[in-house]
Parts: sequence; structure tokens; C-alpha cells
Amino acid sequence: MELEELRQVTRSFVLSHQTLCITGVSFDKRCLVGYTELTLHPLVKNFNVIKLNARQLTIYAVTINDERNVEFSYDDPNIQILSDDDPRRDLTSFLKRQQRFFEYVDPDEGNGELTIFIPLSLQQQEQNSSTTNDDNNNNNTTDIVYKVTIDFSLEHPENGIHFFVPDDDAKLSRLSRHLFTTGHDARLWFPCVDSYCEPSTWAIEVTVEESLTVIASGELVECTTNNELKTYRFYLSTPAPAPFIGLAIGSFESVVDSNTQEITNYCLPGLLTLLTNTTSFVHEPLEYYEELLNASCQYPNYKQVFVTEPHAECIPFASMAIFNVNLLYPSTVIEATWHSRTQMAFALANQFFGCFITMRSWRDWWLLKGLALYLTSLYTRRAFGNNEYRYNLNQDMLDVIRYEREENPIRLDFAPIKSESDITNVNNRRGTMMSSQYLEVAAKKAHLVVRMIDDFIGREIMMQILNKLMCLATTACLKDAPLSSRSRLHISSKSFSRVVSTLTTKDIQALLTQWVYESGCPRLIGSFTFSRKRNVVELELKQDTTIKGSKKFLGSLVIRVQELEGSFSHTILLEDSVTKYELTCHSKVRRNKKKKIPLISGDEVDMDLNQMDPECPILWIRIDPDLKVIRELQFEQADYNWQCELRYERDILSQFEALEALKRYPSQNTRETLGTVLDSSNCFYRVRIECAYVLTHIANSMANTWTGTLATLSFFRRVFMSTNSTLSSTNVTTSSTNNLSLTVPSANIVRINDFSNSQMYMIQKTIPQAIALQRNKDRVCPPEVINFLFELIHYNENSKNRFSDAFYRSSLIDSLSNTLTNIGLTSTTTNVDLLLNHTLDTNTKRIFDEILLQLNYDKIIPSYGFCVTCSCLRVLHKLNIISGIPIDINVFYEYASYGMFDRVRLIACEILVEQIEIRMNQDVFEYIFNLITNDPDYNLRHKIIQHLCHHPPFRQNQTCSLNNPITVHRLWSLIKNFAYDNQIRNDLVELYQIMFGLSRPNCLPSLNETNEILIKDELDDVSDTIVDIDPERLSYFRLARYADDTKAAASKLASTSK
Amino acid sequence: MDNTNTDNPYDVLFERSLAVIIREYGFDNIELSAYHQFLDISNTILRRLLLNVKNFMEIQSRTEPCPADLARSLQMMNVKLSSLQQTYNHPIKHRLRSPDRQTETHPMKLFRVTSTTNNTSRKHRPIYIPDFLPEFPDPHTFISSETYADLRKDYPRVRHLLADQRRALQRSLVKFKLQTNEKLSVINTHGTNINDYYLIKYTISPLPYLSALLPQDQMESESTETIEDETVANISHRTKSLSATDDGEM
Repeated sequence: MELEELRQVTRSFVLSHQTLCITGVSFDKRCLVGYTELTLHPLVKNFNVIKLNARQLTIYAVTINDERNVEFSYDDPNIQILSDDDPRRDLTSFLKRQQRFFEYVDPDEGNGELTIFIPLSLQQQEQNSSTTNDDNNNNNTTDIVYKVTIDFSLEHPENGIHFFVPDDDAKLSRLSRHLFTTGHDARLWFPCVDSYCEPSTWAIEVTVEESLTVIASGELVECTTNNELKTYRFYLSTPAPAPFIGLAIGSFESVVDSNTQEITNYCLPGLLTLLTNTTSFVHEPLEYYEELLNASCQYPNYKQVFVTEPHAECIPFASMAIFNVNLLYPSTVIEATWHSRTQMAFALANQFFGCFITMRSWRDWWLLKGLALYLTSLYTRRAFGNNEYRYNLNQDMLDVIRYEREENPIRLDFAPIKSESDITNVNNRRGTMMSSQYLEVAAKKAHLVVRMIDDFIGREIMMQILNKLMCLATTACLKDAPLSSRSRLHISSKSFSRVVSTLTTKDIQALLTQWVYESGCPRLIGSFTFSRKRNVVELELKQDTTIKGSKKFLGSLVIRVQELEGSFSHTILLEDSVTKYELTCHSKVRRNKKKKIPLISGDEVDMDLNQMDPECPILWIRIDPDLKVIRELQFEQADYNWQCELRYERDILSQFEALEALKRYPSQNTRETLGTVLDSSNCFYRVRIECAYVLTHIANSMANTWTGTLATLSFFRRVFMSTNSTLSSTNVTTSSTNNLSLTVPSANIVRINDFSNSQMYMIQKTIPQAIALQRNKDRVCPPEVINFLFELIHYNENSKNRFSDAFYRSSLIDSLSNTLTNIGLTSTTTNVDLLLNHTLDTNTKRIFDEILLQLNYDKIIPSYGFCVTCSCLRVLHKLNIISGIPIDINVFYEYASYGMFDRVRLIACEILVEQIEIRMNQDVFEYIFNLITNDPDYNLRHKIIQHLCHHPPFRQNQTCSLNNPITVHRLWSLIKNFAYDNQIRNDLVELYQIMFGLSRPNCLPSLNETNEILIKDELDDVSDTIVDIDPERLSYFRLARYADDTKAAASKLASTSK
Repeated sequence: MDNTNTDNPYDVLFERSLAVIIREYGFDNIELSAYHQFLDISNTILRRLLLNVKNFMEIQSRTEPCPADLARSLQMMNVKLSSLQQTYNHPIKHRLRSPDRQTETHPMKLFRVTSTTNNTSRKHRPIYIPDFLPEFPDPHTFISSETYADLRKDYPRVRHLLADQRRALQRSLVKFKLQTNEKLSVINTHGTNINDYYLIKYTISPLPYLSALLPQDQMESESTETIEDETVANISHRTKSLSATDDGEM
């Protein structure tokens, strides 16, 4: 096993231990100074060059085994990637070049930016020792050890390490200065082997001012103070690859988990109460994972650090994780709980699969990501319930399908492209070159695929396999374990499927081929008829392979038929694109309709069967009820079947399917069914909320014949508003009643808030939004609804509530925005006065006034995360676009400026991006580009570009005033400038593709052909761009590179370990 | 103690410091004779103390007193050293409130003309009053009538009042801030000067997350500590209540 794996990696040495020592940190100058020492074991005979990864660093000196000032060269082709301005401006050649540059420094290909030439004197020593040891073949390669020490400094890093230094000199601001690692690009902050499959033990030593705290991967072994300087020494005995080494320095406040001493949480000054509240549960997932995997976490401790402006919400490292400070929440806020806990559980899952057991290469990214998400979802299922779990699963699947249909195909195996013709889109490339949006959806797909594997082999065996992997990895962490055993710390798709096939008799190769090595997901169209004569269901399933991103699926599929006599599952085999099945029916048509009907859940219910076709005993049919396949489903059955399914089926996915289908059947019956489900308190809250939306949808499509108030509205009045005391006694069943309100006489006033039942809270919060979408015959929102919403805002009373109503208030504002329509708005006057005081609809004016009040009030007394401000800004934007109120763009500039809370900034920036999309505003475009270039918050830059990808000002070949050479140059130079931030560069490249396509943009004049050939010649040979290395030596190293030696060494090593 | 001898700086200082001590104990005023008595007593005590110290010093054949002498003399005068320590450690914090500051709060009385005492009845005078005498004054001045203020406190009314107050508070707060702070026009006016729509200009903060993550909007309700206690107990309950309607098996 090890032999084969060594062949894949052509590095000429093994790294056993690395010491990272940071001797100085300066926040004012934003720099780090330090040295690192790598302990290397050569694998080849004539070991004369060491290649390491290092970017944006200044290397001062290299020492090998006390041999000082060793010759080295430092060459970063990614800096030069576009430095010579390529006039072609086409992505195809750019991508090709970028991939070659990546390969050129890829540590797994034995390459790197930093080339160290081992002095001849040392090489001779080595040869001597190897000749003396020639008889003893087993030891000759492992005996020689090189200790490579590199002195380096890092100044004003663009990426890798983020310095947060507030501008002013206030005490709290000075205390809040901190720095942290931003991601897994280790080469950006210290010289290393930046590969996921080179685990080593670590010693980290950091010297800082006395007031600062250092948090790094590993166990804190010593902390000494000397002359107002403090030195922290960490030791990580569990081997970890360099990308998972994390560091955070700042005046953090800390709290040790009260349940598990091994977990410590850190946050910025002033947030300690939030930290205690947010992290109070962290021991739960840890215990759960350990129990599930039957293996303990291999790190001696676990640290969670909450920092500002990290590049992602959650970045896991070995034995620690860095989170966004926004994940912290006070105990009064309900909404934040789910998301924060999921993120923290995910980071913890990475301590098992992700950081501890790592991927071998980017091609196996999906497996580790999928496993971590799989563990996380198992925990969240336990913590938040099965319904929530299934709901999220379904959402993920819908996201994946939508992305494959509308955007790009997702191939989870990130194999490098072979030829230029393969470049069909920017995401069809190496893992390090994917856009963040693609990675996000791919992660969801990865999770679904891992879940499929789990389903295929069974939960118990899956856990056995994970346990086996953990056990194998654990043995590699033992003190006297041989270096070769460290290959157990990383897994690949191949090794995983091999473990599966040895432990079970099942082969997952076909499954991997369908979902991992190829992209696409099937679209199934189904319908059924019942043949009374033969008492069978004739089911027809078609696969639509004509649409984008579809793929034929062959395999088994579960069909569940609910009949009068119970629920029956059938497994069918999909073999062709059109398949017909005959499923035997177990029930006879009943004359006696009183009998109870058994459901899959074991319940027996009474159903009203009068609507039913008396000739057919089928109540409803479900295809693939447990989401075993990633599929898009379109199933036809009568509206009665859907209504029945919604009403009586207890599985929420089935209810969602039925709700989706019922949108197509606006009728009185549907209305009644929806009303019943909305009212039933034993239904999952998300179903009830969705029900409210569908009800509005139905009401709108039946607007001409609709009579009476919307069931949602009367439901809300009945449950959340004070009514006659005779009525209110009925409310006890639906909970959330308040003692005060029981004694209240008539008048519809919303009760004072009591959010102690979170399900009812979510319903109370979301239903007004659904109601607000109602439209009457004239396609405008009925005044009754608008008044209702204003009353809710007016009478909102939270003083007796234990929880914050911030999100409730922001939701009410969202509801107001839902009422806005552009119907009846005929005026195109530019006279502001006339518009505001005369032409504008009174309700719109009222909304506008309310928004301004709330926006101002939120500034004086902020809500949690400024969520009210965010909602208000969105409404302002809508008022501008739909109602034509000329909102000054400076308002959004103000909220987008640095110094605002980042969520508010993000909303403002998104609005600005959408303004560009609608108005083609050159100034705004400039402003956004400036933000992308200069903003100190990198996460915001990422998010803006992602939003631009969703809402580009124009797509390829569209005519637009912005589609001009200036934009091309601007975007191109941006791509050029982000040399160190790969992710931003990838996102920009995706934006470039969306706007201009892969080849040369149309708006540019065509190139002179001779010129083109010249460029090609110049760029085709990578080595031409490398100036520092002696070309002769270079070609020698590249050609003779380990061709024979590696194999020989590997086989020796393999024989030793066996 | 002779009061005319105020030229003596020692006396002046002593009198003042004693006055300060007395004031410390909460007496804003004191009668002069009582104060003089205080002065005499204190003087005597101090003299006695010093005499004792001097004696001890001489017994020990020293020329300068040392702390031990002082301690012994105090002991001789029946003063416990620990009580001194206590006085030193616990300075007087409570002050007696001077009685003249206390004000009685009188309950508000509502006077109202009852419907029975209307104009006609006022003009009707008893027969024993001669005609030439002037008429009775307005009943407000001499009748303490029963009050029937509209004090119905039904739920909608209270809610209505509460909501109105809250909204008015919001509005006036915003108005005040708009007048005192820099503001930003919401409407793109295209040069016209008709504009009533403003936003408060934001003051850039170096640590924006602090105000966002530590919201103030919950402050008015009960003390936060009790909330926290309750909530810790409720967190698990809350997550459980979310999955309460779970069923179905995966």
C-alpha cells in the first residue's frame, strides 16, 4: 500500500519534524520575523537539491547542518503569471498557463518556489556514509538527516496572515489588535512543504509582547517571560501537514469549557459573555463524534478563536479553529444558534477527518470535505432533530441540482486538465483553481455522495470503516512509529474504496464513477396509472437527458406506495431512459370508508376519502423517499393525491414535495387542505411556513374568484393576537398564549412578545412575510394586509420578553418590502416634490417613512448584528427600483464604507452591485472595483465578487455600455494584482468568464496574427520566465529528477516497513 | 475652651478638624455650646493621652516617644487598639439626612365638578342668607367633590398607550439626533431643495463588531443576570422544542 502511494508523490525527501520560530511580531509595521528548521530524510541517492514552498517572504539565509549561507534561489512564477502583460486577454491561455505554474511549484510534484542547493561538502558526506553502509541496505537512506534552517521575514502580507490593526489609539482599540492565519496556504507565511500529504511533528515557538496571548496548533508546553517579552512554546506530537498549522496572536480573553478541560475558547476583549454563551455546547459534538467513531480525538487539546475579518466563517486547523466573531451571539438571540453551532460542530469534525486524517491531493478533496460534513450533519441531526436534518439535506440537493442545471457541471474529482480543448469553463481545473461558489456547491455534493456511500454499505459498516481509518492513523502518531507509517494519515478516493472493499464485499467503484469522476445528475419524470383489472400500478419513469447538466442514472430506486391497506415499498431497477414497471397493489377498493388507514410511521389515521377516485386504492406514491440519489424529480399524480400526501404523510420531505406540486392546483380543496396543515400544531414548523407561502400563491392565482380573508391572516390573528376571551381559550392548544391575553376583551392587537417556544416564534416571524405577498385582482397588495403589517409594527412590545425581537422586527420590515409592487406606478416625473407628495401611493409613502424611522432608530439603538438596518437597506433599494423613489446612491456608499459592521457593508455592497446590474452606473462600478482592490476586509472582497458573479452587469456578448475595453483592462489588471490570494483570483476569473467568455473579449479589436505567434513562443516555455536559476542546472534537475531513484528508494522503504 | 483665643493656629486647626469629623458623621448643624463641649472633651482626652505618653517615655528613659508608648497609653485609657483599626478601615459612609430636606409627597387629588352641582343649584341659596350678600363662589373653590376620572385600564387601551408612547419616543429620539448630529439626505434631490428625508450620519467606529454583537435593545427589560440564568437552563429545552415534532426514520 505504501509503495504505491510513494510513487504518486515525487518528492525526494520525507519531512519528519519542523520547528517554526517567530522571534518578533510588529503590529505597527505588520510584519513577522522568524526562522524555521526542517528535519529532512532524503529518499534518493544523489540528493543535491531541496525544493520548498515559500511565497511573499523575504528569505535571509539558509543553513544546512551547520553549513551556513547555503546557496538558494527564490522564484515565484505566480507573481509573474501576468506581470508581462499578455495582450490577448483570453482566459484559455491564461488558465493553461496558470495550471502550468501551479504544477511548477506543486510540492506533490517535487517542486517549490524555494530551491536550496545542497553544498558539495555535505553531499560527499552523504555518499561516504552511504558507501559505508552499503551492506546494510535497510538503513542507508534513513540514516542521513538534513536540518535545514531558513531565516525569513514577512512584511505587509496580503494573504496567509491577516493583521487587524484599528486606526485609532483608544485603549480598547489597541487591545483589540490581533493577527491570525487566514487559510490553508501555509507557504504564504513560512517556508514549508505546502502539501496535504507531508505530515510532520511540529514545535512552534512565538515571542511576543507580554500583553499578548498566542494560540497555535499543538500543546502549550512552556511559557516564559523575559524582559517584557513572552515566549510561548507549542509542541504538536500528532503529525500534521503544514497547511493545517494555525496561529493567532492578540490580547484575547479566554474561557475554558466547563465540561471538558481540553477545550479552550478565545475571543476579543469585551465579548466574554457572548463567548461563554456561544461555546457552552462544544463538548457535545466532541463526545458525540468520539462515541460514533469509537476513537478519541488525537489532539491533546482544542482551541476556538473568534477573530474579526477572517477570510471564511470557520477555518479549521490541527487542534484549533478560527471563527468569525460574528458567530458569537448573546443568549437573547434565537436565530444565530443553529448556524453557529453547525459551524463549530463542523470545525470539530475536521479534527477527525480533514485536519487529522487529510486528503492525499486535491483530487481527494471531496472525500474529506464530505466526511467532515457527514459527521457534522449526524451531529446536527441529533441536536436539532431529524426534520431539520432532512430539510437541510433536501436544500443541499436542490442547490446542487440548480447549480448543475444553470451554472457549471460539478465533477468532484479535481483532476488537472489534460489539453486546452478540455477547458470548457473556469471550474474544470485543479482544486486550487476553483471559484469559491463552485467549491461551496461541490462541498454539498460531496456530502451527499458520502451519504450515498453510507447508505450503500450501511451505517454500521461505515462507522467501522471510519473507525479503522482512525485506528490506523492513530498508530502513526505513536512515538516510535516509523516515518513511512505516516502515509496512513492521509486517504484518497482509491485507498478509501480499497478499505471499503476489504472490509465489506461491496465495491463502491461504480458509485464513485457515477457521482465523483463524472458530473451531472439525473432528471426523472414519472407518472402512474392504476389497472383495476389486474390490480397493479403501472408506473412509468422517464429520464430527461436533453437538459443541461443531466446524466443518465442506472441503478436501483425505491418507490413507496401508500395504499388503503398501508404503505408498501418497492425497489425497482432503472435500466433505460424510459422504463415501465408494474407494482402489485395490496389493497382492494373499499366500500367501507370508515376503517383507519395505517401509515409508514405506524400510525393509523382516519381519512376523508370522499374526494378519492372510488376505483383506485392508491392514496399517493413517492419516488426515492429518502434522498438516496441526487435527482431532480417531476412526478405526476392527481391533486387529490397531493392533498392527501400533504395532510397525512408525516415525512417532511414528502410534505414539501406535495406543497410544491399543489402550487399547480389552485382550488377550493387545496385551500382547505393548506389551511388545515397550517393550523395543525403537530406539523413541523418549516412545513407550516411553506404552507403559508403556498397559500398566498394559490390566493394570488385565484385572485379573481377569491372570497374571504386569507387563512394565513386569520390563523395569525387567532394564534398571535388577542381576541375575545371566549376565543382565546381555544388558543391554549397552539401554545404561545400569554396569561395576560386571556383576560382581554376584543380588539385585534398582537400579543406582547413571548418567544419561549421557538417553533411558534419562527412561525410568528415568517408568516407576515408570506401574507405580505398577497395580491388582489388589481395585482396590488390589499390595503387590509398593509394595515395589518403596520399594526404589527406599531403594537410590537418586547419589554416582557426574555429574547430579543431584533430579527422579528427585521422580518416585519421585510414583509413591508414584500408588499411593494410597481403596478399603477405610471409617473415618470423627475420632480421629487411632486413625486413624494402627490404621485406616490400613500401606502408606499408610509412604508418609506417607516423605513427611515427604523433605519435611524437602529443607528441610535442597534439591533443584534444590525439586522434591522440590513432589512431597511434592502427595502430602500426596492423602493428605488420598484417605486421609483430617487434614493441618493450616497446612502449606500455610506453603509458600504469601512468601519461599518461587516454584514451591513455586505448588504450595501450587494445593493450597489445590483444597482450596476439594473442601472449600468459607471461610477458605482468604479466604486465596487475600488473596494475589491483596496478594502482591508478580504472577506468582503470575496463576497462582492461572488455577488457580481450572480448579478453581472452583463453576460457574454450582451450589449451594454459597460461592455468596453476599459472594463476588460480593469478586470484583467485586478486578476493580475491578486497574486497571493488565489481564491479572489479564481473568483475574478469566473467573473471574467461570465462577462467575456473564455476567448478574447469581443469588445477588443482583433489581434495582429504575427504578434500572437510571438507571444505564444515567448510564453510556451515556462523556464524562460525563470531568471534566477542557472538554466543548465535547472534542466539537469528537472530531467534527471528522481526518475530511477525514487522507485528504488520507495521499494526499499516499503520493504523496511513490511 | 476660650473662644476668643482663635488666633492660636493650633486651636483654629483643631476646631476645624473636629468640625469636619462631626460633619462626617452627618451633622450639618450643631449648637455652639454643644460644639464647645465637644472641643473641651477632645482636648482633655488628647492632653491626657499625651501626658501618658510622656510618662511612659520617661519611665523608659527615652527622649522621643515611640509607637509602643502610644499603644500602651491608649490601653491605659481603655481604648482598644482593634477598635481604632476598625474606625480607620471603615470610614463613615452613611450620612444622616438632615430632617429639613425630607419632603412629604402628597397624593394628587383630582377635583371635579360633579354633575349634581350645576349652575342652577349654585344659584339656589338657603333662605337664611340675606339677598344682599354676594353669591357663593364657584364650587371648585370649596367643594372637594368625588372624582370619576377615566381610569379604565383595559388591555387594548394599555397596549395602545404603551405603543403610542414607544413610537413617540422613537420619533422624538430620531428627531433629536437628526438635529444634533450630522445628517445625510436620502433623496437625490437633483438640485431642488425640498427635502424632509434624512439619515443620521454614521460615525465610523474602529471596532464596529462591538456595537453590533452587544445590542442595547434588550436593556430595558429586567436585569440581564436573571435572564442569563434562566436561559442557560432553557437552551437545551429550546433546541429540543425545535425537534419536538420529529418523526420518521432515515
